[in-house]
Amino acid sequence: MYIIIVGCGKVGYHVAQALLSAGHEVLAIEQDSQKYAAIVDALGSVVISGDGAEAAVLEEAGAGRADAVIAVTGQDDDNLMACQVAKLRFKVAKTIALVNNPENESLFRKLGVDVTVSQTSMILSHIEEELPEHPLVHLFPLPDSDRRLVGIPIPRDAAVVGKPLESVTLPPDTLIVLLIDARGEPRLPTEGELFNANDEVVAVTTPSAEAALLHILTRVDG
Amino acid sequence: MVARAMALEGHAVSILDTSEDNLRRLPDHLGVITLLGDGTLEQDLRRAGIEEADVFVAVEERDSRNALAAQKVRHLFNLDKVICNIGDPVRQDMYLALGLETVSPARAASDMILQAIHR
Repeated sequence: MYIIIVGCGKVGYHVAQALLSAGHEVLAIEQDSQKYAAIVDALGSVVISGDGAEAAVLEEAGAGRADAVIAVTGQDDDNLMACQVAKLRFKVAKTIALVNNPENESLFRKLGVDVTVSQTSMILSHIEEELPEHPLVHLFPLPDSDRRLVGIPIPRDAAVVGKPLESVTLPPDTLIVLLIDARGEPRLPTEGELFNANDEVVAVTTPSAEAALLHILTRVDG
Repeated sequence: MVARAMALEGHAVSILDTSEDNLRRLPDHLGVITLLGDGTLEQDLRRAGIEEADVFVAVEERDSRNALAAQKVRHLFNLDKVICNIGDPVRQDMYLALGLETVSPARAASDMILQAIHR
């Protein structure tokens, strides 16, 4: 594949290196002249200097025949613009943007960026996973929407324990996709299936429905 | 300049700028609300009253920051009248393709200069 990387800082450099050693054709675009020189020294002539959010620079980089454009600068505005130019002007099939500020993630996807990568969200979800008392874990966002996959453990004394799935009303835009019991055994949410204590419920939901879902599944009666 | 003209026309104007110096340059008597903040961030836009706004104008130096702010306002706050300043006119077609209304002072100036030459 031919892959263009916009921004060759820490992330861009390692991505470039990994893709090169996997045998892909890679071209990086770096604006900072010092970083540019350092990359030429380290990786050879796989980098051009310029502003990767600029249509003329992307054209020079051969965006017209690129299979993917990966924008990983430290500026969200540049990452968005690079992906939008790649998509609209050069019809690049796959655009991937690093999102420095997590609030931009859903906007970027709405605006046509195919894949968003947020380091902050990733670190947060790791923290959530490692902290056992955390009641809701964000597993990952679904592409092309603001929906996300979440995991919620059912407390031993929750009101839903022992109840069939269909008897519990879920918030809008929410779907239970899997139940995993305390031994790690998965089962599908078919009719008649019951919520058991210490089940992990894996569900698709939206940011606005998330709190209601958590409340329904973890509420303790009385 | 834009803020001044709009305020003199009697509109309610809020200015969001990341530089305190820029905000200090504005004369007090205009009655313009100034806020130190980042126009590409949701919470700062909200603080500036974006939910009640009729028009949003992005006139920062960096074009791609203007484009991000403008697209955020259009898609998250559903405001239609969004105007975006472009420093380098070669980007204008691209921004138009993104559905942004653009103003390019450089292009306006060069058009005027060309007109003056041909007169």
